[in-house]
Amino acid sequence: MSKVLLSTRDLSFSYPDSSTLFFKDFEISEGSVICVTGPMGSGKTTFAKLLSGLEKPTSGKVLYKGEDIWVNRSSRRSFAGKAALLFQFSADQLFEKTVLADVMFGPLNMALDEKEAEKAAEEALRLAGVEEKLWRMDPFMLSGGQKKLVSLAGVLAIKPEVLILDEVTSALDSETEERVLSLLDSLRKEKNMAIVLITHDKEVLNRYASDGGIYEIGNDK
Amino acid sequence: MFKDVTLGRYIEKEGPLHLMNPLLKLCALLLILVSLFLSKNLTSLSLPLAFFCFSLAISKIKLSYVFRGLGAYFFIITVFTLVRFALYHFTLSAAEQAVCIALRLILVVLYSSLFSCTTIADDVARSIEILLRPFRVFGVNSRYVSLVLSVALRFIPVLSDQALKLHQAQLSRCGLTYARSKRRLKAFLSVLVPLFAATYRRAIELALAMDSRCFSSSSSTHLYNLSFSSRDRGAVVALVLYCGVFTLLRFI
Ligand SMILES: Nc1ncnc2c1ncn2[C@@H]1O[C@H](COP(=O)(O)OP(=O)(O)O)[C@@H](O)[C@H]1O
Ligand SMILES: [Mg+2]
Repeated sequence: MSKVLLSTRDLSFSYPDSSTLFFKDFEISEGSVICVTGPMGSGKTTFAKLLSGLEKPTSGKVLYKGEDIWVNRSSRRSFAGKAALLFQFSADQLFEKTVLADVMFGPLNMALDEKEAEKAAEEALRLAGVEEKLWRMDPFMLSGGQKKLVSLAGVLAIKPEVLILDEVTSALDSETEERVLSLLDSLRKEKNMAIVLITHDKEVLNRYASDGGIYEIGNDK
Repeated sequence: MFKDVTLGRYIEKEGPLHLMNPLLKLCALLLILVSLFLSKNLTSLSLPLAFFCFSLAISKIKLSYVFRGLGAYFFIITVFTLVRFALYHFTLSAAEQAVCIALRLILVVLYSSLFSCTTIADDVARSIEILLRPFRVFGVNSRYVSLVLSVALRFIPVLSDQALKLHQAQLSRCGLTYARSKRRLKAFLSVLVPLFAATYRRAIELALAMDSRCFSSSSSTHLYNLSFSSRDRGAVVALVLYCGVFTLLRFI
């Protein structure tokens, strides 16, 4: 039986001056995949931000290996890098002046030195399938799909235990989509990574329906 | 911190301030701001303060909401006051002066936040446009000027949203959390440059969006007409009273 990495208890969140979103309890363990789905505006992106520790829940808990990540500063700090979120709008996730520098941002924060960080970044870029000629470019010059791959490299570079992907396939052509999905499969099988896949895509849902769970937001409350 | 910028955000409610004629509301705001800068002591500041409490009470805007926006300014005001004390000797009248100046700045922010909470950007633009009409004789295109101003106003929350997004982008890759302190500072500074770049890109998108929906400065018509209701007559009475009491306070 594999270990439970991330789970939630009675989670709810409200943005200032708007109604509260409630989430039923969620659980994901090593090497597994769970698809999160629901109509637009139902709170999928919000749920992803809560799971990755970017937003603090209004009530309820997010647990990493059974420990609440928001008990105090140090618990939140030691959670950093464990669950990585790929944003729905990847343009929001890129901020450095070159692609390579952007991917290096994470490894540098994890106390690697310049050389090691660069190595980690190059490895991640190759893994995500970003062509080498793009590495020195300004990330904002890239197309939507290329940006998505660069930000994917950015989160892969920090080697998370849980990878949360907010509508990763929506900006990709079908060939790249296939490649990314099989990359995810190999990360799951070889690195034992847990994967949370937020998606509307019927095909993707069908693909994982058998070996993973489906977590629906916004229908049965 | 980035979530707390209230200036320039509109809050959908059905309060009397929301329904008030925007041109009148803008004039009232200008009048009050002028009176704030004419108040030199605590006695004369008490009126704008009381009037603000009254306006907020009837506005259906939450007290906590307007105050949340003050956070960032408190820092500036505190620094400003400390610098003053460092430059001059500390006396009782100097302390009163400092309190007055701080209170004035706070009230400016509070009144402006209340105004922007209760007025949609389009109404702000139209009111400014009407106020600037007399300057047409000098060749000022009042529609352009008002548009520029209202877009600028709309950009304050855009700037803070962008800052929040960047903060989350860095957080998502271990920025600012487990970094050593030197990198932490560097990461924070590295927010500033991309913040301006991102805002600039947003501005270009906004310009394109307006173009694609046929905006031109000459012949736009509006969805609603500005109207003057009995409620606005009440507001005029309140403003006249305000001016009266203010003049009285200045002479005692
Ligand atoms: N920054 C925000 N401020 C206020 N409300 C928000 C914000 N972001 C999202 N919301 C609201 O929260 C709800 C859920 O949004 P989101 O999580 O983005 O949905 P999804 O990703 O499923 O489309 C929506 O109704 C949206 O209006
Ligand atoms: Mg979403």
